[in-house]
Amino acid sequence: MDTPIVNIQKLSYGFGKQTILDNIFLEVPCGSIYGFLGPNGAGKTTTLRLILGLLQKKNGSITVFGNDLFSNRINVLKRIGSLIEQPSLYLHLNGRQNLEIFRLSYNSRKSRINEVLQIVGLSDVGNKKVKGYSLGMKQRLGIAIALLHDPELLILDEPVNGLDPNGIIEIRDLLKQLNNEYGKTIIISSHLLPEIEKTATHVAIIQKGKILFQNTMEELLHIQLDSSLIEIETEDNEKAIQVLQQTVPVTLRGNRILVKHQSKEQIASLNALLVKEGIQVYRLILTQNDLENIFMQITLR
Amino acid sequence: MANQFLLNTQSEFLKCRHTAALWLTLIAAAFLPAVNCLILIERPNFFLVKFQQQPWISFLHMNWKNDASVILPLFVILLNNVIVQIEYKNNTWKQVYALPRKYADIFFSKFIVVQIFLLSFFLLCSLFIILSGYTISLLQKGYPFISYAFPFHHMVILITRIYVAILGVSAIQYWLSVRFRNFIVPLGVGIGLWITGLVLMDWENIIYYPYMYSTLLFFIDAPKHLGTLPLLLTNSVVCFLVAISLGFWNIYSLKQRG
Repeated sequence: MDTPIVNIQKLSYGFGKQTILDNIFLEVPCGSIYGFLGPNGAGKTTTLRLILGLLQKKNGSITVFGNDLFSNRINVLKRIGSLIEQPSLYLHLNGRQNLEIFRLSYNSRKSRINEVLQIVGLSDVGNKKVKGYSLGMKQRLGIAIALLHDPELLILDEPVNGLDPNGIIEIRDLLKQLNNEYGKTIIISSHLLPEIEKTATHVAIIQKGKILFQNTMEELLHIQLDSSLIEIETEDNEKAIQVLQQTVPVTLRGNRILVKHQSKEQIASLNALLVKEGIQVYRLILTQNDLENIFMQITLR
Repeated sequence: MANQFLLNTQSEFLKCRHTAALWLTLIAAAFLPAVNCLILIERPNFFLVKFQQQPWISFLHMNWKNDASVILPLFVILLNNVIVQIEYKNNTWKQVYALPRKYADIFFSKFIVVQIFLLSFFLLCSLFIILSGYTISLLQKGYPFISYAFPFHHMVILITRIYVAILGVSAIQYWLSVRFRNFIVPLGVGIGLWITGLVLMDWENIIYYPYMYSTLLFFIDAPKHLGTLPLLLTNSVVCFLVAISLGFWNIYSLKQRG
Protein backbone atom coordinates (compact mmCIF):
# COMPACT_ATOMS: atom_id res chain seq x y z
CA MET A 1 0.00 0.00 0.00
CA ASP A 2 1.22 3.55 -0.80
CA THR A 3 2.33 5.82 2.03
CA PRO A 4 -0.77 7.65 3.31
CA ILE A 5 -0.92 11.33 2.33
CA VAL A 6 -1.97 12.13 5.90
CA ASN A 7 -0.90 9.86 8.71
CA ILE A 8 -2.04 10.55 12.25
CA GLN A 9 -0.89 8.27 15.04
CA LYS A 10 -1.82 8.27 18.72
CA LEU A 11 -3.01 11.85 18.61
CA SER A 12 -4.68 13.24 21.71
CA TYR A 13 -5.85 16.78 22.32
CA GLY A 14 -7.81 18.61 24.94
CA PHE A 15 -8.79 22.01 26.26
CA GLY A 16 -7.90 22.16 29.93
CA LYS A 17 -9.17 18.98 31.52
CA GLN A 18 -11.64 18.28 28.71
CA THR A 19 -10.44 15.61 26.29
CA ILE A 20 -11.41 16.37 22.69
CA LEU A 21 -9.36 13.73 20.87
CA ASP A 22 -8.38 10.49 22.54
CA ASN A 23 -5.50 8.59 20.96
CA ILE A 24 -6.82 8.80 17.41
CA PHE A 25 -5.24 7.38 14.28
CA LEU A 26 -6.03 8.25 10.66
CA GLU A 27 -4.47 7.13 7.41
CA VAL A 28 -5.69 9.01 4.35
CA PRO A 29 -4.76 7.20 1.12
CA CYS A 30 -3.48 9.26 -1.83
CA GLY A 31 -6.21 9.91 -4.44
CA SER A 32 -9.10 9.14 -2.11
CA ILE A 33 -12.12 11.13 -1.06
CA TYR A 34 -11.83 10.55 2.65
CA GLY A 35 -15.04 11.06 4.55
CA PHE A 36 -14.59 12.07 8.15
CA LEU A 37 -17.88 11.31 9.77
CA GLY A 38 -19.16 12.09 13.23
CA PRO A 39 -21.82 14.02 15.15
CA ASN A 40 -21.31 17.65 16.05
CA GLY A 41 -18.73 18.03 18.79
CA ALA A 42 -17.12 14.65 18.07
CA GLY A 43 -13.71 16.18 17.31
CA LYS A 44 -13.77 16.47 13.48
CA THR A 45 -12.94 20.17 13.26
CA THR A 46 -10.31 19.87 15.98
CA THR A 47 -8.60 17.09 14.01
CA LEU A 48 -8.66 19.12 10.79
CA ARG A 49 -7.37 22.22 12.57
CA LEU A 50 -4.52 20.14 13.97
CA ILE A 51 -3.65 18.91 10.46
CA LEU A 52 -3.46 22.56 9.34
CA GLY A 53 -1.33 23.62 12.30
CA LEU A 54 -4.06 25.90 13.67
CA LEU A 55 -3.82 24.09 16.98
CA GLN A 56 -0.66 22.97 18.72
CA LYS A 57 -0.59 19.22 19.18
CA LYS A 58 0.27 17.87 22.61
CA ASN A 59 0.71 14.13 22.03
CA GLY A 60 1.08 11.87 19.03
CA SER A 61 2.30 12.50 15.51
CA ILE A 62 0.87 14.14 12.40
CA THR A 63 2.66 13.39 9.15
CA VAL A 64 1.51 15.02 5.92
CA PHE A 65 3.12 14.05 2.58
CA GLY A 66 5.60 12.03 4.66
CA ASN A 67 6.77 15.15 6.55
CA ASP A 68 6.23 16.05 10.16
CA LEU A 69 3.72 18.91 10.10
CA PHE A 70 5.21 21.02 12.85
CA SER A 71 8.79 20.99 11.62
CA ASN A 72 7.78 21.46 7.94
CA ARG A 73 4.73 23.70 8.35
CA ILE A 74 5.35 26.02 5.38
CA ASN A 75 6.26 23.26 2.90
CA VAL A 76 3.28 21.16 3.96
CA LEU A 77 0.81 24.07 3.76
CA LYS A 78 2.01 24.89 0.22
CA ARG A 79 0.49 21.56 -0.84
CA ILE A 80 -2.81 21.85 1.06
CA GLY A 81 -5.96 23.80 0.24
CA SER A 82 -8.45 24.21 3.05
CA LEU A 83 -11.92 25.36 4.00
CA ILE A 84 -12.53 25.15 7.72
CA GLU A 85 -16.09 25.58 9.06
CA GLN A 86 -17.72 28.58 7.39
CA PRO A 87 -15.81 30.00 4.39
CA SER A 88 -13.28 32.67 5.37
CA LEU A 89 -14.08 35.50 2.99
CA TYR A 90 -13.70 39.28 2.99
CA LEU A 91 -17.35 40.22 2.60
CA HIS A 92 -16.64 43.87 1.66
CA LEU A 93 -14.67 42.75 -1.41
CA ASN A 94 -15.79 40.96 -4.56
CA GLY A 95 -14.99 37.37 -5.46
CA ARG A 96 -12.01 38.23 -7.67
CA GLN A 97 -10.52 40.55 -5.04
CA ASN A 98 -10.82 37.77 -2.46
CA LEU A 99 -9.02 35.40 -4.79
CA GLU A 100 -6.34 38.03 -5.53
CA ILE A 101 -5.59 38.39 -1.81
CA PHE A 102 -4.90 34.67 -1.48
CA ARG A 103 -3.22 34.40 -4.90
CA LEU A 104 -0.56 36.86 -3.78
CA SER A 105 0.19 34.78 -0.70
CA TYR A 106 0.31 31.54 -2.70
CA ASN A 107 2.31 33.34 -5.41
CA SER A 108 0.33 31.56 -8.10
CA ARG A 109 -0.33 32.72 -11.68
CA LYS A 110 -2.79 35.58 -12.21
CA SER A 111 -4.67 33.47 -14.78
CA ARG A 112 -5.41 30.99 -11.98
CA ILE A 113 -8.19 33.29 -10.75
CA ASN A 114 -10.23 32.76 -13.92
CA GLU A 115 -9.44 29.06 -13.91
CA VAL A 116 -10.67 28.41 -10.36
CA LEU A 117 -13.72 30.61 -10.85
CA GLN A 118 -14.59 28.46 -13.84
CA ILE A 119 -14.00 25.21 -11.95
CA VAL A 120 -16.42 26.22 -9.18
CA GLY A 121 -18.88 27.84 -11.61
CA LEU A 122 -18.62 31.43 -10.34
CA SER A 123 -17.18 33.10 -13.47
CA ASP A 124 -20.29 35.24 -13.93
CA VAL A 125 -20.35 36.63 -10.40
CA GLY A 126 -16.62 37.19 -9.84
CA ASN A 127 -17.09 40.97 -9.76
CA LYS A 128 -20.00 40.90 -7.33
CA LYS A 129 -19.40 41.74 -3.67
CA VAL A 130 -19.21 38.60 -1.56
CA LYS A 131 -21.72 39.94 0.99
CA GLY A 132 -24.33 39.51 -1.77
CA TYR A 133 -23.45 35.84 -2.35
CA SER A 134 -25.71 33.00 -1.25
CA LEU A 135 -24.25 30.48 1.22
CA GLY A 136 -23.69 28.00 -1.62
CA MET A 137 -21.77 30.60 -3.63
CA LYS A 138 -19.67 31.44 -0.59
CA GLN A 139 -18.86 27.75 -0.10
CA ARG A 140 -17.86 27.49 -3.74
CA LEU A 141 -15.69 30.60 -3.51
CA GLY A 142 -14.10 29.10 -0.40
CA ILE A 143 -13.30 25.98 -2.43
CA ALA A 144 -11.94 28.19 -5.26
CA ILE A 145 -9.56 29.80 -2.75
CA ALA A 146 -8.50 26.35 -1.60
CA LEU A 147 -7.77 25.39 -5.23
CA LEU A 148 -5.78 28.53 -6.16
CA HIS A 149 -2.33 26.99 -5.77
CA ASP A 150 -3.37 23.67 -7.30
CA PRO A 151 -2.83 21.71 -4.06
CA GLU A 152 -2.54 17.94 -3.89
CA LEU A 153 -4.71 17.73 -0.79
CA LEU A 154 -8.00 19.51 -0.07
CA ILE A 155 -9.30 19.68 3.49
CA LEU A 156 -12.96 20.68 3.58
CA ASP A 157 -14.76 20.92 6.89
CA GLU A 158 -18.53 20.47 6.52
CA PRO A 159 -18.64 22.02 3.02
CA VAL A 160 -22.36 21.29 2.60
CA ASN A 161 -23.40 22.56 6.01
CA GLY A 162 -26.40 24.86 5.72
CA LEU A 163 -26.84 24.39 1.98
CA ASP A 164 -30.16 23.70 0.28
CA PRO A 165 -30.55 20.41 -1.65
CA ASN A 166 -29.43 22.01 -4.93
CA GLY A 167 -26.36 23.50 -3.28
CA ILE A 168 -25.53 20.11 -1.73
CA ILE A 169 -25.75 18.39 -5.12
CA GLU A 170 -23.55 21.08 -6.72
CA ILE A 171 -20.82 20.75 -4.09
CA ARG A 172 -21.01 16.95 -4.24
CA ASP A 173 -20.56 16.96 -8.02
CA LEU A 174 -17.73 19.46 -7.72
CA LEU A 175 -15.87 17.28 -5.22
CA LYS A 176 -16.23 14.22 -7.44
CA GLN A 177 -14.98 16.25 -10.41
CA LEU A 178 -11.97 17.52 -8.43
CA ASN A 179 -11.12 13.98 -7.44
CA ASN A 180 -11.71 12.31 -10.81
CA GLU A 181 -10.53 15.00 -13.24
CA TYR A 182 -7.94 16.89 -11.22
CA GLY A 183 -6.63 14.01 -9.10
CA LYS A 184 -7.08 15.80 -5.77
CA THR A 185 -7.08 13.87 -2.54
CA ILE A 186 -9.96 15.27 -0.50
CA ILE A 187 -10.68 15.04 3.20
CA ILE A 188 -14.29 16.02 3.78
CA SER A 189 -15.91 16.09 7.18
CA SER A 190 -19.62 15.84 7.78
CA HIS A 191 -22.20 14.77 10.32
CA LEU A 192 -24.44 13.50 7.52
CA LEU A 193 -23.92 9.86 6.61
CA PRO A 194 -25.84 10.04 3.29
CA GLU A 195 -23.54 12.86 2.20
CA ILE A 196 -20.36 10.91 2.92
CA GLU A 197 -21.94 7.78 1.45
CA LYS A 198 -22.50 9.53 -1.87
CA THR A 199 -19.03 11.06 -2.24
CA ALA A 200 -16.39 9.25 -0.20
CA THR A 201 -14.21 6.32 -1.20
CA HIS A 202 -12.88 5.90 2.34
CA VAL A 203 -14.39 6.77 5.67
CA ALA A 204 -13.44 7.27 9.29
CA ILE A 205 -16.06 7.54 12.01
CA ILE A 206 -15.31 9.56 15.10
CA GLN A 207 -17.40 9.82 18.24
CA LYS A 208 -16.51 11.54 21.50
CA GLY A 209 -12.93 11.97 20.30
CA LYS A 210 -12.38 8.31 19.47
CA ILE A 211 -12.10 6.72 16.05
CA LEU A 212 -14.68 3.95 15.91
CA PHE A 213 -14.11 2.86 12.35
CA GLN A 214 -11.68 3.49 9.51
CA ASN A 215 -11.83 1.66 6.21
CA THR A 216 -13.24 1.85 2.70
CA MET A 217 -16.79 3.00 2.07
CA GLU A 218 -17.59 -0.46 0.71
CA GLU A 219 -16.63 -2.00 4.02
CA LEU A 220 -18.87 0.42 5.92
CA LEU A 221 -21.82 -0.32 3.64
CA HIS A 222 -21.19 -4.00 4.15
CA ILE A 223 -21.42 -3.51 7.92
CA GLN A 224 -24.67 -1.61 7.49
CA LEU A 225 -26.24 -4.36 5.44
CA ASP A 226 -24.77 -7.06 7.59
CA SER A 227 -25.99 -5.75 10.89
CA SER A 228 -29.14 -3.68 10.61
CA LEU A 229 -31.15 -3.34 13.77
CA ILE A 230 -34.71 -4.17 14.64
CA GLU A 231 -36.26 -1.47 16.77
CA ILE A 232 -39.07 -2.51 19.10
CA GLU A 233 -41.33 -0.48 21.35
CA THR A 234 -43.80 -2.23 23.65
CA GLU A 235 -46.20 -1.46 26.46
CA ASP A 236 -43.73 -3.05 28.94
CA ASN A 237 -40.14 -2.91 27.71
CA GLU A 238 -38.67 -4.50 30.84
CA LYS A 239 -40.82 -7.58 30.46
CA ALA A 240 -40.17 -7.64 26.71
CA ILE A 241 -36.41 -7.61 27.29
CA GLN A 242 -36.70 -10.56 29.67
CA VAL A 243 -38.65 -12.48 27.05
CA LEU A 244 -36.43 -11.57 24.10
CA GLN A 245 -33.16 -12.17 25.93
CA GLN A 246 -33.95 -15.85 25.99
CA THR A 247 -33.54 -15.97 22.21
CA VAL A 248 -31.40 -12.99 21.09
CA PRO A 249 -29.06 -10.35 22.62
CA VAL A 250 -30.90 -7.05 23.15
CA THR A 251 -30.01 -3.45 24.03
CA LEU A 252 -32.30 -0.82 25.50
CA ARG A 253 -31.90 2.72 24.18
CA GLY A 254 -34.44 5.22 25.50
CA ASN A 255 -37.80 3.54 25.15
CA ARG A 256 -36.67 1.36 22.27
CA ILE A 257 -35.34 -2.19 22.37
CA LEU A 258 -32.69 -2.90 19.76
CA VAL A 259 -32.07 -6.36 18.34
CA LYS A 260 -29.49 -7.24 15.72
CA HIS A 261 -31.27 -8.05 12.45
CA GLN A 262 -30.69 -11.48 10.91
CA SER A 263 -33.61 -12.20 8.56
CA LYS A 264 -37.16 -11.18 7.62
CA GLU A 265 -38.49 -14.26 9.38
CA GLN A 266 -36.79 -13.16 12.60
CA ILE A 267 -38.95 -10.02 12.68
CA ALA A 268 -42.12 -12.07 12.48
CA SER A 269 -40.96 -14.53 15.13
CA LEU A 270 -40.00 -11.76 17.58
CA ASN A 271 -43.42 -10.21 17.15
CA ALA A 272 -45.12 -13.56 17.64
CA LEU A 273 -43.06 -14.22 20.77
CA LEU A 274 -44.02 -10.90 22.37
CA VAL A 275 -47.70 -11.29 21.50
CA LYS A 276 -47.66 -14.82 22.88
CA GLU A 277 -46.35 -13.47 26.20
CA GLY A 278 -49.21 -10.93 26.24
CA ILE A 279 -47.03 -7.89 25.58
CA GLN A 280 -48.58 -5.30 23.30
CA VAL A 281 -46.21 -4.25 20.52
CA TYR A 282 -46.53 -0.54 19.58
CA ARG A 283 -43.73 -0.41 17.06
CA LEU A 284 -41.50 -2.90 15.28
CA ILE A 285 -39.30 -1.64 12.44
CA LEU A 286 -36.05 -2.35 10.65
CA THR A 287 -33.89 0.71 11.33
CA GLN A 288 -32.62 3.03 8.59
CA ASN A 289 -28.91 3.50 8.04
CA ASP A 290 -28.54 6.83 9.81
CA LEU A 291 -25.40 7.85 11.66
CA GLU A 292 -26.82 7.08 15.07
CA ASN A 293 -27.56 3.51 14.06
CA ILE A 294 -24.20 3.01 12.40
CA PHE A 295 -22.59 4.02 15.70
CA MET A 296 -24.72 1.52 17.52
CA GLN A 297 -23.90 -1.24 15.05
CA ILE A 298 -20.18 -0.58 15.17
CA THR A 299 -20.24 -0.43 18.95
CA LEU A 300 -22.21 -3.69 19.13
CA ARG A 301 -19.79 -5.55 16.81
CA MET B 1 11.74 35.55 0.74
CA ALA B 2 11.77 39.36 0.81
CA ASN B 3 9.77 39.32 -2.41
CA GLN B 4 7.15 37.04 -0.85
CA PHE B 5 6.95 39.33 2.18
CA LEU B 6 6.23 42.26 -0.16
CA LEU B 7 3.52 40.23 -1.94
CA ASN B 8 1.96 39.36 1.41
CA THR B 9 2.07 43.01 2.48
CA GLN B 10 0.37 43.92 -0.81
CA SER B 11 -2.23 41.28 -0.01
CA GLU B 12 -2.78 42.87 3.43
CA PHE B 13 -3.26 46.22 1.69
CA LEU B 14 -5.92 44.83 -0.62
CA LYS B 15 -7.94 43.75 2.41
CA CYS B 16 -8.26 47.41 3.43
CA ARG B 17 -10.05 48.41 0.23
CA HIS B 18 -13.61 49.62 0.80
CA THR B 19 -13.07 49.73 4.58
CA ALA B 20 -13.25 52.63 7.02
CA ALA B 21 -9.42 52.81 7.21
CA LEU B 22 -9.08 55.15 4.24
CA TRP B 23 -11.90 57.49 5.29
CA LEU B 24 -10.68 57.49 8.87
CA THR B 25 -7.21 58.59 7.72
CA LEU B 26 -8.60 61.24 5.42
CA ILE B 27 -11.02 62.71 7.97
CA ALA B 28 -8.51 62.59 10.85
CA ALA B 29 -5.91 64.38 8.70
CA ALA B 30 -8.31 67.03 7.37
CA PHE B 31 -10.18 67.80 10.60
CA LEU B 32 -7.90 70.27 12.38
CA PRO B 33 -6.53 72.10 9.29
CA ALA B 34 -10.16 72.66 8.24
CA VAL B 35 -11.25 73.83 11.69
CA ASN B 36 -8.23 76.11 12.09
CA CYS B 37 -8.81 77.51 8.60
CA LEU B 38 -12.34 78.52 9.63
CA ILE B 39 -11.14 79.98 12.95
CA LEU B 40 -8.46 82.15 11.33
CA ILE B 41 -10.85 83.40 8.67
CA GLU B 42 -13.59 84.14 11.21
CA ARG B 43 -11.40 85.81 13.85
CA PRO B 44 -8.86 87.95 11.99
CA ASN B 45 -8.89 90.60 14.74
CA PHE B 46 -7.52 88.11 17.20
CA PHE B 47 -5.11 86.12 14.99
CA LEU B 48 -3.76 88.60 12.42
CA VAL B 49 -1.18 90.03 14.81
CA LYS B 50 0.08 86.59 15.82
CA PHE B 51 0.59 85.50 12.22
CA GLN B 52 2.53 88.49 10.91
CA GLN B 53 5.95 86.91 11.70
CA GLN B 54 6.69 83.34 10.50
CA PRO B 55 3.01 82.55 9.71
CA TRP B 56 3.70 79.04 8.46
CA ILE B 57 5.62 77.99 11.56
CA SER B 58 2.89 79.43 13.79
CA PHE B 59 0.23 77.68 11.76
CA LEU B 60 2.14 74.36 11.75
CA HIS B 61 2.41 74.43 15.52
CA MET B 62 -1.20 75.53 15.94
CA ASN B 63 -2.31 72.45 13.98
CA TRP B 64 0.19 69.86 15.13
CA LYS B 65 -0.09 70.74 18.80
CA ASN B 66 -3.72 69.61 18.91
CA ASP B 67 -3.24 66.90 16.32
CA ALA B 68 -0.41 65.31 18.31
CA SER B 69 -2.23 65.70 21.64
CA VAL B 70 -5.73 64.55 20.74
CA ILE B 71 -6.33 63.48 17.16
CA LEU B 72 -3.23 61.33 16.67
CA PRO B 73 -3.53 59.06 19.76
CA LEU B 74 -7.22 58.48 19.05
CA PHE B 75 -6.49 57.92 15.36
CA VAL B 76 -3.80 55.33 16.17
CA ILE B 77 -6.16 53.49 18.54
CA LEU B 78 -8.99 53.43 15.96
CA LEU B 79 -6.77 52.67 12.97
CA ASN B 80 -5.27 49.55 14.53
CA ASN B 81 -8.75 48.41 15.49
CA VAL B 82 -10.22 48.96 12.03
CA ILE B 83 -7.40 47.19 10.17
CA VAL B 84 -7.05 44.18 12.47
CA GLN B 85 -10.82 43.78 12.91
CA ILE B 86 -11.10 43.03 9.17
CA GLU B 87 -9.83 39.52 10.01
CA TYR B 88 -11.98 39.04 13.10
CA LYS B 89 -15.13 40.43 11.51
CA ASN B 90 -14.84 38.16 8.48
CA ASN B 91 -13.63 35.17 10.52
CA THR B 92 -10.58 34.93 8.27
CA TRP B 93 -7.70 34.50 10.74
CA LYS B 94 -7.93 30.72 10.36
CA GLN B 95 -7.53 30.97 6.60
CA VAL B 96 -4.60 33.39 7.00
CA TYR B 97 -2.83 31.01 9.39
CA ALA B 98 -3.51 28.06 7.05
CA LEU B 99 -1.54 29.87 4.31
CA PRO B 100 2.11 28.92 3.77
CA ARG B 101 3.25 32.09 5.57
CA LYS B 102 5.58 32.39 8.54
CA TYR B 103 4.02 33.75 11.71
CA ALA B 104 6.45 36.70 11.61
CA ASP B 105 5.36 37.43 8.04
CA ILE B 106 1.68 37.50 9.06
CA PHE B 107 2.33 39.68 12.12
CA PHE B 108 4.69 42.23 10.59
CA SER B 109 3.11 42.58 7.13
CA LYS B 110 -0.11 43.81 8.72
CA PHE B 111 1.85 46.07 11.09
CA ILE B 112 3.54 47.64 8.06
CA VAL B 113 0.13 48.33 6.53
CA VAL B 114 -0.88 50.13 9.75
CA GLN B 115 2.34 52.16 9.63
CA ILE B 116 1.77 53.13 6.00
CA PHE B 117 -1.70 54.42 6.89
CA LEU B 118 -0.15 56.29 9.82
CA LEU B 119 2.49 57.87 7.58
CA SER B 120 -0.25 58.73 5.09
CA PHE B 121 -1.99 60.58 7.92
CA PHE B 122 1.15 62.71 8.44
CA LEU B 123 1.53 63.43 4.73
CA LEU B 124 -2.16 64.22 4.23
CA CYS B 125 -2.27 66.38 7.33
CA SER B 126 0.76 68.37 6.11
CA LEU B 127 -0.87 68.73 2.72
CA PHE B 128 -4.11 69.97 4.27
CA ILE B 129 -2.18 72.46 6.44
CA ILE B 130 -0.54 73.90 3.32
CA LEU B 131 -3.86 74.05 1.46
CA SER B 132 -5.49 75.57 4.50
CA GLY B 133 -2.78 78.29 4.77
CA TYR B 134 -3.21 79.32 1.15
CA THR B 135 -7.00 79.28 1.45
CA ILE B 136 -6.78 81.60 4.48
CA SER B 137 -4.55 84.00 2.54
CA LEU B 138 -6.96 84.03 -0.36
CA LEU B 139 -10.01 84.76 1.79
CA GLN B 140 -8.37 87.06 4.35
CA LYS B 141 -5.76 89.20 2.62
CA GLY B 142 -4.16 90.27 5.91
CA TYR B 143 -2.56 86.89 6.56
CA PRO B 144 0.87 86.83 4.87
CA PHE B 145 1.13 83.08 4.07
CA ILE B 146 1.75 83.79 0.37
CA SER B 147 4.64 86.09 1.18
CA TYR B 148 6.59 83.41 3.06
CA ALA B 149 8.10 80.19 1.73
CA PHE B 150 6.70 77.06 3.33
CA PRO B 151 9.26 75.71 5.87
CA PHE B 152 9.50 72.12 4.61
CA HIS B 153 12.63 71.41 6.60
CA HIS B 154 10.96 72.52 9.84
CA MET B 155 7.86 70.49 9.03
CA VAL B 156 9.84 67.31 8.29
CA ILE B 157 11.67 67.57 11.64
CA LEU B 158 8.40 68.24 13.47
CA ILE B 159 6.43 65.35 11.99
CA THR B 160 9.38 62.97 12.31
CA ARG B 161 9.50 63.71 16.05
CA ILE B 162 5.74 63.26 16.40
CA TYR B 163 5.88 59.98 14.46
CA VAL B 164 8.67 58.63 16.66
CA ALA B 165 6.75 59.79 19.75
CA ILE B 166 3.62 57.85 18.73
CA LEU B 167 5.48 54.66 17.64
CA GLY B 168 5.30 53.09 21.11
CA VAL B 169 1.52 53.57 21.36
CA SER B 170 1.15 52.27 17.83
CA ALA B 171 2.95 49.02 18.74
CA ILE B 172 0.96 48.56 21.96
CA GLN B 173 -2.37 49.14 20.20
CA TYR B 174 -1.43 46.78 17.36
CA TRP B 175 -0.57 44.04 19.83
CA LEU B 176 -3.86 44.50 21.70
CA SER B 177 -5.88 44.59 18.48
CA VAL B 178 -4.34 41.35 17.18
CA ARG B 179 -4.58 39.66 20.57
CA PHE B 180 -8.24 40.30 21.38
CA ARG B 181 -11.19 39.31 19.20
CA ASN B 182 -13.46 41.76 21.02
CA PHE B 183 -12.66 45.22 19.60
CA ILE B 184 -13.85 46.86 22.82
CA VAL B 185 -10.74 45.61 24.65
CA PRO B 186 -8.06 47.47 22.59
CA LEU B 187 -10.39 50.43 22.19
CA GLY B 188 -11.20 50.66 25.89
CA VAL B 189 -7.64 50.06 27.05
CA GLY B 190 -6.27 52.58 24.54
CA ILE B 191 -8.69 55.37 25.37
CA GLY B 192 -8.44 54.58 29.09
CA LEU B 193 -4.63 54.84 29.06
CA TRP B 194 -4.77 58.03 27.02
CA ILE B 195 -7.24 59.70 29.40
CA THR B 196 -5.19 58.51 32.39
CA GLY B 197 -2.19 60.19 30.77
CA LEU B 198 -4.07 63.48 30.51
CA VAL B 199 -4.88 63.27 34.21
CA LEU B 200 -1.24 62.49 35.00
CA MET B 201 0.22 65.30 32.91
CA ASP B 202 1.77 66.94 35.98
CA TRP B 203 3.32 63.71 37.22
CA GLU B 204 7.11 63.96 37.49
CA ASN B 205 7.61 60.62 35.71
CA ILE B 206 5.25 61.37 32.82
CA ILE B 207 8.29 61.04 30.53
CA TYR B 208 7.94 57.26 31.04
CA TYR B 209 4.28 57.18 30.02
CA PRO B 210 4.08 56.39 26.25
CA TYR B 211 0.50 57.57 25.67
CA MET B 212 1.56 61.16 26.45
CA TYR B 213 4.75 61.34 24.37
CA SER B 214 3.23 63.06 21.35
CA THR B 215 1.50 65.55 23.68
CA LEU B 216 4.66 66.20 25.70
CA LEU B 217 6.57 67.17 22.55
CA PHE B 218 4.80 70.51 22.71
CA PHE B 219 5.37 70.98 26.45
CA ILE B 220 8.93 69.77 26.60
CA ASP B 221 10.31 73.21 27.41
CA ALA B 222 8.19 73.62 30.50
CA PRO B 223 10.43 73.43 33.58
CA LYS B 224 8.04 71.08 35.39
CA HIS B 225 8.70 68.38 32.78
CA LEU B 226 12.17 67.24 33.68
CA GLY B 227 12.73 65.07 30.65
CA THR B 228 14.49 66.26 27.57
CA LEU B 229 13.47 65.77 23.97
CA PRO B 230 16.15 63.10 23.27
CA LEU B 231 15.07 61.16 26.37
CA LEU B 232 11.43 61.29 25.30
CA LEU B 233 12.20 60.07 21.79
CA THR B 234 14.53 57.37 23.10
CA ASN B 235 11.83 56.19 25.52
CA SER B 236 9.33 55.98 22.69
CA VAL B 237 11.70 53.91 20.52
CA VAL B 238 12.45 51.59 23.46
CA CYS B 239 8.72 51.27 24.17
CA PHE B 240 8.11 50.47 20.50
CA LEU B 241 10.81 47.78 20.42
CA VAL B 242 9.62 46.18 23.67
CA ALA B 243 5.91 46.26 22.72
CA ILE B 244 6.37 44.92 19.18
CA SER B 245 8.73 42.16 20.37
CA LEU B 246 6.46 41.12 23.25
CA GLY B 247 3.45 41.33 20.95
CA PHE B 248 5.03 39.03 18.38
CA TRP B 249 6.22 36.60 21.03
CA ASN B 250 2.72 36.55 22.54
CA ILE B 251 1.01 35.89 19.20
CA TYR B 252 3.70 33.36 18.20
CA SER B 253 3.13 31.43 21.44
CA LEU B 254 -0.65 31.11 21.05
CA LYS B 255 -1.81 27.52 21.28
CA GLN B 256 -4.85 28.17 19.12
CA ARG B 257 -4.95 30.27 15.96
CA GLY B 258 -7.94 31.53 14.01
